[in-house]
Amino acid sequence: MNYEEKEMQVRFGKENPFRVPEGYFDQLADRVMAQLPERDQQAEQIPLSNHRPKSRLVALRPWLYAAACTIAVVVMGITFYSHETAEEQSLASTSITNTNTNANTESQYIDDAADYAMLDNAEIYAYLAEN
Amino acid sequence: MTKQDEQLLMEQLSDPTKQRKAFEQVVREYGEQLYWQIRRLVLIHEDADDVLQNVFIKAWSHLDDFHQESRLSTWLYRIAVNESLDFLRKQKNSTMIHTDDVESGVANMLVADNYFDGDETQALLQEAIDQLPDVQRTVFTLRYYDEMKYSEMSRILKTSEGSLKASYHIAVKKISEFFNHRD
Repeated sequence: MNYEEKEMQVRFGKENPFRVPEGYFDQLADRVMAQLPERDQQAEQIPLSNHRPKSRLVALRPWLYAAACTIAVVVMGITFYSHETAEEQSLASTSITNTNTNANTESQYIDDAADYAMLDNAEIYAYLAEN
Repeated sequence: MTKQDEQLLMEQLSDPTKQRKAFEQVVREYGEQLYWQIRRLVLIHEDADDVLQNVFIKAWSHLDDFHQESRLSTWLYRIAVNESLDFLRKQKNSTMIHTDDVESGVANMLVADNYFDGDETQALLQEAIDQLPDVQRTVFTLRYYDEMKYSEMSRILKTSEGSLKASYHIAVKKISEFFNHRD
């Protein structure tokens, strides 16, 4: 026993400072036994931790999650598919006009590029002749 | 209870026709000493009573899990300590959530308690013990009041004797420091 422990015993003693109501221990066994369920029923009756009976919603929770995931996938699929179809349709309708305008667009592009590079026609012809 | 008595009791506990009667004997034999250990940890009589009832319900429902690798008293003490510490953790959490008045003080609470007979110094000792971490608190109460051997404590808490001795000495040191600060 070290110094601190000895000092503690001198100061506080070891007497139990707690009390119980009159007759508490005499009635304890009867009270405990009255609360015990029958052994064969205990699996259903005894709340071991804080297990409460599951509500229907809680019991169905995994299925609700699965359903929510399925719906989400279906909605995303439909959205994606309809978007793709709409894009294809718009591409198809514009492709006809595009073929007509392609030639115009290309020459316009060359003109713009020539302006940007400050080339005149003579230089372009000279460049083409060299290659 | 002698080893032979305990052996006979264990046989009756495993017999479905006799186990209820045998369990009543267990409650009568160990109820009081388990109550005091629980009470020293949870401090209030009503809480100790609730925890003790839970300990016996748990022991009864897990009777098949007790494989006699330890003594019955060791197994019951282990359940009692675990249930008490579990109760304190839940109480601590609910106090932190529901009240701002955490500083009301264990000593003041005990002095006002009808089932606490100690003086102010003893109430302060309980407050100092209350501030210890779980293991130190358990080891201190088992050793200081019950004078339990470290070997038995080691079986209950499944911790080495060396570590328990260290926990006890740290607990004593912290309690001394608690009073040195106040003096």
